[in-house]
Amino acid sequence: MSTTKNKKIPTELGTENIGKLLMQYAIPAIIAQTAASLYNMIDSVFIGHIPNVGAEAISGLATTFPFMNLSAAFGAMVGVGGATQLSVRLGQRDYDSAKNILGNLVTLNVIMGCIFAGVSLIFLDEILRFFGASETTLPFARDFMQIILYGNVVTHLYFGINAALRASGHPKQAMYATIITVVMNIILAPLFIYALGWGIKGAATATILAQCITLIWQTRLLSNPNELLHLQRGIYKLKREIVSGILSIGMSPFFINAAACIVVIIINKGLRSYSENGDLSIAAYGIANRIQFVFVMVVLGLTQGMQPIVGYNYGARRHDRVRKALMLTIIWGTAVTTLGFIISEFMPETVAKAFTTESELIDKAAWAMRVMSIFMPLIGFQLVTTNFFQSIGKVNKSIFLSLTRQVLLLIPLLIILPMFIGEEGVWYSMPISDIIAAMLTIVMLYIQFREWKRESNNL
Amino acid sequence: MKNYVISIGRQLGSGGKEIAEKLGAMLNIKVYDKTLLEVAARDSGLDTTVFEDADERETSGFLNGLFSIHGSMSNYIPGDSYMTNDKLFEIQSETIRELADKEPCIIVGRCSEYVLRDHPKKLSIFITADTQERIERIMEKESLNHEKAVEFIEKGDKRRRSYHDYYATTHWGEARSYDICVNSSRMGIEGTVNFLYNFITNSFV
Repeated sequence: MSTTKNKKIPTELGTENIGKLLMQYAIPAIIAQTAASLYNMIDSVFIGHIPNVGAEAISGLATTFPFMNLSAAFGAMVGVGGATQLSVRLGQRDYDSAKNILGNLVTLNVIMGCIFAGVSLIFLDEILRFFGASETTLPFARDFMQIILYGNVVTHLYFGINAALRASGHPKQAMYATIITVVMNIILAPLFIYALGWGIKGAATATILAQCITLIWQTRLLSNPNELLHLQRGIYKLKREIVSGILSIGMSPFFINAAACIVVIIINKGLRSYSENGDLSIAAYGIANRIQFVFVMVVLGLTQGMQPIVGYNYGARRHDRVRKALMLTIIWGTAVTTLGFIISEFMPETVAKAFTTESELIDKAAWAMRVMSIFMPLIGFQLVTTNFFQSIGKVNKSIFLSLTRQVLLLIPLLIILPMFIGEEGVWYSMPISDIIAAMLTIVMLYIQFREWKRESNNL
Repeated sequence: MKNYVISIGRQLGSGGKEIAEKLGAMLNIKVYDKTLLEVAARDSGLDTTVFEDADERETSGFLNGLFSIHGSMSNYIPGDSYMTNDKLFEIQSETIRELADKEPCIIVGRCSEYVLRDHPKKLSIFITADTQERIERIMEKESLNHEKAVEFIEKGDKRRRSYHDYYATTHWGEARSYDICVNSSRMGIEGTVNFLYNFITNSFV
């Protein structure tokens, strides 16, 4: 088990060339993040190409996104909480406690998955309407979501066990699991949707089935009795202390995911009330948002690669190397979002065509991409700097910055702007929040640099 | 033959540190409290302040939780080399184990009774004192008034408990987590030192 090796931090972080280190650490993370973001897009792409299925189906699908976010929020609560505890115990080679955490993680995932699915299935129509579905789009959303909810326990277990795999020293297998699921979904979706003619239900079935197969493989991996930590009898009974530990750590990731869900609901509701064709606007947002998400995920992968480099060198008081790593990551991050900007501004129709064949929706989605991406190059800088503050232990600043763009600025803008300029207010809230957040970020970074300069002058 | 090692946990203002130092002098062995952090820092090439910032601090709570998300999401990266407080604790634990392997010593705090739980010759001690006495000791040591000293003690205990119970599976200050718990107010500092000296030497005969 690799956690017993690598006890100490590799000192190469303090000596090796920064550019080389960044490549070495960021590329696996970028691959994993890209796979994860593709995962979210596959269904949209395939459903968009079902013959004679129009904007209503895509709009219906878009109203299920916040639903999936909410389910992921509950999954992350257990998965992240359990994985964090697991890695602390494994760091102490305390396998007795670790295996009980693993068992409790599995049990909690099952319980949480069942309750979430049960409650959601009972109030399915009400929830979907609340998330922005209309009477026209509701049937599509319902068809899709019902199957997703039947498989909800599998989804939670799949993500939970993947987190456990990573924490228990199998990060590569966890990455393979993600990639395998994506590939299987890409193979199964067209088979079910077109060949078997199951339509939107086929997309949901493919998603769940792909997770099911991966889950079996993950379970086999984790059942190997030669591993110190493996699934075995007698570890599944919930223990009060473990459960409360998991939930208290899992609270914060839950709120982050829940906040993402709330923002999408507010956007959908705004589009529904201010737009002449709410369904079309919601579908367009679903498409544009997914495109932007891909670039954001790549940048997040990049920052994951930056964190150990910055963290170590900051700890070793090598501010020159910290600054260099930050600058290099900002350049790369900005390059990625600038590419996104160029695509969104100059060829949005081409991209939108991947998601739909309806010309009206292509036009609307292309327009939405142009508006949403006005300040996109700055998002790269903003994301990198936010994560930079986190890697040097300034967690409060990091959280403040990440909340400003996505919550603190965006939500008030989303509510106020449309009152004056209608539907466009909803769309323009997003770039406006981007630019204000970027300016705040520059100010905070400037203050930080000035502080360091003063410190080094005093030495 | 393995060295013996003594782990001493203590309430704030219980005189635990003084007792540890006197015991160390009587047994003629080294005592590591904050100095432990310097050793850990030297071994890892990091600055001591990094360890001090993470030392016996509250770890639960919303913000720290947010920090840990990234820690677990980012395990894609080879080497698993994140500079989280969890990682720092891991390095520090390794230092504790190495010190205990090298020669007999006393380790003060830092969950050492949990970290060293598999050590074949370990004694764990927890030292408490009467509240009034703790307040007086803190008032003198930190030059605080009565009210401030009470607050200082409450916060300090909360911090130590939350740190301990996050990283250890045992509970801070609970009798079953230790070999022996002593209230230093009963026998005074000197009396407690002598009592524990006998306890230690008798245990390792």
